Amino acid sequence: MAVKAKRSKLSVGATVFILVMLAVPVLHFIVFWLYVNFDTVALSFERYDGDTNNFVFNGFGNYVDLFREFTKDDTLLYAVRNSFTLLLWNNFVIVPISLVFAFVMYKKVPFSGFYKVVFFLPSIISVSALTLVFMYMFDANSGFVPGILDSLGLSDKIPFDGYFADAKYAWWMVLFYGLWSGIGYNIVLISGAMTRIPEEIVEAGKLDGLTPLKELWHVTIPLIGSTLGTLMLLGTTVMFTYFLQVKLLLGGNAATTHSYTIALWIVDNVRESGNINTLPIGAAMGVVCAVIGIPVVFGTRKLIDRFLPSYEY
Amino acid sequence: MKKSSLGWGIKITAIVIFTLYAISLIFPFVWMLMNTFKPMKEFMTNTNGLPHTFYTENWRTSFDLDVYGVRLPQMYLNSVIITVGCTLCCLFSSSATAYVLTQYRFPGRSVMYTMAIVVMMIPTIGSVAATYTLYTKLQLLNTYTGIFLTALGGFGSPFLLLYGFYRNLSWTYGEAAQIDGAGHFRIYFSIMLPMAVPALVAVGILQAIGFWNDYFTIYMYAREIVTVSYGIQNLNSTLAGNLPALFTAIMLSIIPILIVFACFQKVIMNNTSIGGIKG
Repeated sequence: MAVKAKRSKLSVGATVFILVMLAVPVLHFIVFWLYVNFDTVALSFERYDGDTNNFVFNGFGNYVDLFREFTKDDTLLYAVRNSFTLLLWNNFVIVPISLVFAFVMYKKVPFSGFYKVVFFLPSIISVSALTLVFMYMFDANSGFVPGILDSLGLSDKIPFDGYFADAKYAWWMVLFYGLWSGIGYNIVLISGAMTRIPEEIVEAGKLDGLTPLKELWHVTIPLIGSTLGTLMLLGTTVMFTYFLQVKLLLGGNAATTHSYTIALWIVDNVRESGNINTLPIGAAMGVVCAVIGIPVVFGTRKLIDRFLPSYEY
Repeated sequence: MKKSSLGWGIKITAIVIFTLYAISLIFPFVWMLMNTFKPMKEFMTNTNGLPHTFYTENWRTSFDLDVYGVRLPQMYLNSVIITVGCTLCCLFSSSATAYVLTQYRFPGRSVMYTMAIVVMMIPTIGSVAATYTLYTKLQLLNTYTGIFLTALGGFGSPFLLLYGFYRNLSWTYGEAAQIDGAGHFRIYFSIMLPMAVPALVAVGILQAIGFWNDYFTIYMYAREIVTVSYGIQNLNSTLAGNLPALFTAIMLSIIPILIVFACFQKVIMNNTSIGGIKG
């Protein structure tokens, strides 16, 4: 890096070059991040005025309305609960299962390479196609899963309206879809980190007589801490960002099956309603999410750094 | 290379579980593909069996399927334009930021790098509201320009992948060119970029898959530019009475991605293990 330090004094040419190169990305950031986020805050204090076709100041009106939405019916309360279960599901079910799968593969189970490729398939297929495949697999009329249940004499486990329209099953289907489609991506990330663990460390552990379980707990997990940490951090942000899978799997049934998420509620207000009047309340919910989300995400980061510190090796 | 190995019991259990999970991933696609060779009438009575005859009508008529008057070939064309355009935009921006931030020391450099990472962590889903009004004002809804603009960001996960690459790129070539009188632009475009092609291709493939699959951007800002990924969701409601035709469309939407994956499986999975696609 010593060579680079030589160029610490920037010539005019270099300055021009840097400015030109960064112009587009920085401008993009200013418009699509800074401006839209500030404007979201502004929008949350406005309402649409049909007479002038403009957004006008509305004080805390949207926040009051938002509070009413919470008390009006249980849609939003369920949305909060569901979003929270996503966090738990991701960090305490999907990531641990992926970790165990990846560890077993790392321990040279036959055909690991083949399985890894197959498990990765859902990650490259569009959510839009994959949700359809998943839905038709469980479709009450034509799917093969109900067919199998039927032949096993479990036809009482097939809800009349199908799994995606039944309040008892719908949210579980969303969670199950997340598990079914999400493991492979995590495995690839975790396996990548495992293969970077130096052989000497594993060898030393073996000489100390570590069992595989102890190796996983005392050697592997600490050494892939930063990767696990990243996955858990992503698993935390889904609480505020997960909606597309729910929207595509449940469509109009999200409300009747108590399966909204916070993000889905926002997107519905912005776009699905087709009504410009509901943009501001969507923005208000976005602001509330950010106000709660930022400390949650950074707090989680702190917790992760504490319990899964990343080691240099 | 010896490792503490797992017992046979665990290995067999693992293989059984892995195999069952693999079947659960592959079988739905096989089932769907099989059913594309049946007419609807047969599908209703013979959902899970092999087709009685080799019926190819669904595949032959699939090109006439349409969403809002946009036929399937046009959807493919839209998807290709968007995938190519967005990938190029994304590489252009990300490569520029990654190169400048690794090869030059200037005030604000480390702030930019930190910002890039911190910003990715902040949940800003609410900003779709403001972005939508911005697009309405600028009349960018339903335009290619509007979609390409969304891809011009230079600080996302492709930036981090390319940052890792450029950081290890030696400046000695640049220095030699500089002595020969080449300017900074010349060094970047004719010396550094060609050396970065393998990295750009790798990152480009990952991004291209993401853009091909993208549903959300089209749903939010450009529903009239129907892409394959957006279109099949609409076909789902219009083709409820002819599921084999719908299954054919779904298969058609997946095939290009499967071909790309078959060709670049190593590149895709290796780069995912370094940086991740969905970041």
